[in-house]
Amino acid sequence: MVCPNSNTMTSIYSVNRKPRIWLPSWALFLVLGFLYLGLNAWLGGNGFISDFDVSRWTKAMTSIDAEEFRIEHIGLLYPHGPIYLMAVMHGVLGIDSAHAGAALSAILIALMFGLWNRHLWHKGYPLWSRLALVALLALHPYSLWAASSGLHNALLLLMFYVFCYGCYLIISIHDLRAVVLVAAMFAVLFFADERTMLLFLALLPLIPILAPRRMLGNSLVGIYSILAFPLLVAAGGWMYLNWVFHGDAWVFLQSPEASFRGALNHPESSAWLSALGGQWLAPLGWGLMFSALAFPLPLWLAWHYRRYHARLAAALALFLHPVLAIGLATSIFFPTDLTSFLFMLVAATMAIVLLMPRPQKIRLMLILLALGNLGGWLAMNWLPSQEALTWQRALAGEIQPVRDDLIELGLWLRENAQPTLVDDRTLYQAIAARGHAHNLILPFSHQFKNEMKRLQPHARQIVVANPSRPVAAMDRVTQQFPEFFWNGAPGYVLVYDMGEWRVWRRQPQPTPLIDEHTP
Amino acid sequence: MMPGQTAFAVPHANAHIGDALVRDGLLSQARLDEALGLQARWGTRLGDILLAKGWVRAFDFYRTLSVQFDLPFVDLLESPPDETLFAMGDLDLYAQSLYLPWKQGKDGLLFAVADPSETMLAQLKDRYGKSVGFVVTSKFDIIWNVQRVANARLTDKSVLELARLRPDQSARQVFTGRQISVIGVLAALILLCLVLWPVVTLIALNSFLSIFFLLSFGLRSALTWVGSHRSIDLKVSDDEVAALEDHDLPVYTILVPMYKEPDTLPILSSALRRMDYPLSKLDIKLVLEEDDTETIQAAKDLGLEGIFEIIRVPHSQPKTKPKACNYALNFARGELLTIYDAEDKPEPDQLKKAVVAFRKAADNVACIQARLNYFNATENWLTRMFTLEYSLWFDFYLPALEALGIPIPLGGTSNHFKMDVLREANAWDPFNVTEDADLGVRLTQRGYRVGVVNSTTFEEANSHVGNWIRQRSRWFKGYMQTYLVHMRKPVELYQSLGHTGFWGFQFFVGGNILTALSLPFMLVMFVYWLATRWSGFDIIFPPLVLYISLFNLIIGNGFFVYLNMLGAFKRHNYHLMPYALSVPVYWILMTVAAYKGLWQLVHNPFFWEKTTHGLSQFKHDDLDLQRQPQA
Repeated sequence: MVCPNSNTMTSIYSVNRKPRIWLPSWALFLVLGFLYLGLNAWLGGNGFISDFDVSRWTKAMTSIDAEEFRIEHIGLLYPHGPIYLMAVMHGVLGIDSAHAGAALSAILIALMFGLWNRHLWHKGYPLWSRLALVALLALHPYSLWAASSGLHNALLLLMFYVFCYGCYLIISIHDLRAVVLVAAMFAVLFFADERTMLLFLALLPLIPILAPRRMLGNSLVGIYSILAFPLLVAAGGWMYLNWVFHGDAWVFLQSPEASFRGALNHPESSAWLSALGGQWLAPLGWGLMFSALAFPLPLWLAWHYRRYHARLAAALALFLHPVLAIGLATSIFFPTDLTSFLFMLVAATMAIVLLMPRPQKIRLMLILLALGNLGGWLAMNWLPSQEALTWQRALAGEIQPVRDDLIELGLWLRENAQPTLVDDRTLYQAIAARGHAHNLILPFSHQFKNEMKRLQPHARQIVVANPSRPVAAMDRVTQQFPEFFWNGAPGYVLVYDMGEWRVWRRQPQPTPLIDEHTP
Repeated sequence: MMPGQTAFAVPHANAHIGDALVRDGLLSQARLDEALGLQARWGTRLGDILLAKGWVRAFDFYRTLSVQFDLPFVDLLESPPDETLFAMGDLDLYAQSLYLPWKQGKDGLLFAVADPSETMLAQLKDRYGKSVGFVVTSKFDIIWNVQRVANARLTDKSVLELARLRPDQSARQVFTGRQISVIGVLAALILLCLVLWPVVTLIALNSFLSIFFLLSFGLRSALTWVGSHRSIDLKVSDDEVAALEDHDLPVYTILVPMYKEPDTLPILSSALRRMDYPLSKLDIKLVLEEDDTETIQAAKDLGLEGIFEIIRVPHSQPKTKPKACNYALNFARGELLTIYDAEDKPEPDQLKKAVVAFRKAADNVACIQARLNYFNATENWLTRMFTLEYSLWFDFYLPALEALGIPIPLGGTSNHFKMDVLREANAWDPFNVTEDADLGVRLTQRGYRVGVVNSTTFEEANSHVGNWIRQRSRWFKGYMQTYLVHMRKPVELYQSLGHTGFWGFQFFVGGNILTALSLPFMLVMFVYWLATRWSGFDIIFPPLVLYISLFNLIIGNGFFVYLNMLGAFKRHNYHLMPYALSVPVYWILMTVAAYKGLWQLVHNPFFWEKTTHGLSQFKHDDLDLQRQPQA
């Protein structure tokens, strides 16, 4: 109907002639997807599975398998995004293994690189250069980590790339839609990962560098408002939901179980926090150093852009963003290690490459990427978290010890699937091993709440922990019935005893004899 | 001469008429020279230019013209035409070609003409026979007499033409029998279900509303994303405007319907004079109700130039703006037409931009909508919200509706039409109080499209709550009328609009109404629950409905507030952005207006709730009060 004016977005792409032979992004996605799936299979075979995946998988499973699906059963102490994805895999696809999280992670990271391939193609990068760039970055230890350390990391990295790409659009075409995309991305990310608010706060001082001068000059407050409002709505909404379902708007920050607190409840378990927790300048310095080590390419690109103020500023801002975030996060005892934020530099690097107006010095870029891959391993091993260490050992082929007792318990519960009173907070690994949550009396159910009001339980089966072990302090069932582990209760017999856990089963009452001939 | 057509004048005749006027002391030589220069640029007749500039009185001009053409001059006020000679079927021709049968002479019928050119006379001879004769008179006298003689006929046409030709598209009948039956059956069914199964029924109603709001949110998200794309707007650059040749421009009819607004006339006339368009190609109609003597007198006292014509609309029911515009349309001579309200201040190059936009657009673009904005945006909270609302409307929704083929509810002012299409569509529905919204749907049904051009008309935003409610209640009533009319045959509507257009219409027109009407219930429930945490509501909020409602409450409302912020940001109205947070309060006002509109729909459907203008404390920065023709 109307002949539109030239599309300013595609005009950015049409600056460079696209190569005739191009690698379809879907093909690259498939290849990388299979490679990452293979990686996860290797890690899984060596006994590694992300604790995040197991706990969230359990949450997803228990909510789907409950009598009535209710979102509030999941709780509002952690973002729901990964749980919903896992719920779809369990409820719709019928998958019953917590490794589904790892599989999905592989797909998401492959998708991210497929996207990047497409964006590089639009910029005019020839096939060999795209293959090489993608391959090197896909093999970066931080990429491997994101694809296999938990669905939350994969989701965050993919969405962080969307954010970085949005920043690239803001800088390139000054389009309001790009600003809205970035703002909306943060709002959505809030429901996917608890690091969102920290990332946003770290972004605030960088906005004057990223935003076009014209927009800034017109109204600095305006642009901050446009960027911040969706996230504020998301956070405000989350507080409201906490108030509605938990009775207190701040539960998601105050409850010891809340993932929004990060590692605040147990900083001593993190070498990084033990060394640097509560500080911001030192973590910033270390973060900067290891970022440069793991990602020298963005720094070179920033130097390459030095004559173009906007590009230089954008490159530095995108590079510094995760670094600022790690400083901020460490000051409040949030992250368990450097990797938990710095892996996002993968996405930042991808966007910084796109800032290049045309393909140039590709070989040098590849060399720097390769050097960064080496530096990445150094960075990963600087005050790593326990999980990162386990991951690296599994990657190297070492078989990792697993919690046999919980897995055994889970398998036993699968064979004895009677209504069982359990606390999923401590037994999520067992539940995951069980493969489904049917017939489990879980903390969100009315029955569980009623049991917690009794002096003696009434459930058919009950799982309790050894009160002398640390896990008992976290287990609500054990806390309610502290003597049950040792003595059970009248009518209950011990049916399972391994390690820290026992299962007691209520015997059915004997049926009174009815003799119709008895007068 | 056909309506709207401007012919190049016969040079020697123009030179004669100009010389004659100078000779008679009615025009200065300097002005004649200037007029001849304009004639070379504009390509219109010298007389039109002189009258447009107000350099010669109409009476003096036509009298001199008659001498030049060696024809008698007649003052139709002193010597009125013989009404029995009028052919009612030719009324349009009389009004647009500016002639009428005057008297039966000895040798044949005598016609009074305002244009005694050879072309015109030859056409009249062709039509009425070679034995006709001619006298010259003023075009204003012709217009006045056509109105006087044919008022009843013209009024009847203005009021009933659409209702006769397309009764299914006229709001003359508010509810059809079938609609009453459906509403009655539905209401009875709901009542019965409430009695028999109260909880289930309430859940069903609640679910319906929740899903509806969710889908509304989805639609508006899509509209926002599509509409925010910069290339959607039909942009006309300054270079394109500058490249226009004045002599290529068509005659432009401007309708200005007014009622009891004498104070705005000087401002309006000043704004129209400033339009960057050849004055002699402007066909401006001041459309005034015949009982509005103060405005009529004010117009006369201003001594407006020849491009301003007063069209007195006879009193008839319904007394509405669309009826008045229909009436004035009988006298319109332009190829393009637009409507301005009395308080409007269009950007001077808007007409030229519309011309370019029509030329660039596809052939089936029948209407170009300019943007509206408010010069008193910062007067108070209400004007700020009004401005936010319109920024959102024009910068996001309209471009998206255009792109997606969803009927655009036109804005009521600054709509630019192709005259032939407007007449083909039977113009406006006089019974619909948002005639513009209705016309937008009808045009879309006929396969025409509406474009949006990058030109703004500044208006006065309502600054008084009572006045605002009056205006908004009329809009809601009109939307209800539009919805009822076009949903009489939903299958036909679906077939004519297509899938996207049909559902867009449901959510955009019907949805607006339903949202405003249902808001009080949702709000009262929510506030009561917040205050008391009463668990009685739990039963009508099963899990899925609860989650959808929570999503609507948090994300949906947050999104709409954000949209308003974006609208302000896009227009660089940064100071308005914080006010977006108070949009929920604005919605409450809308609800009040919606219920008032609903009440009037039932009790007084055609009543035109007049909006009072000139209440703003912000004044126009210029006021060109008096223009007198000068020799």
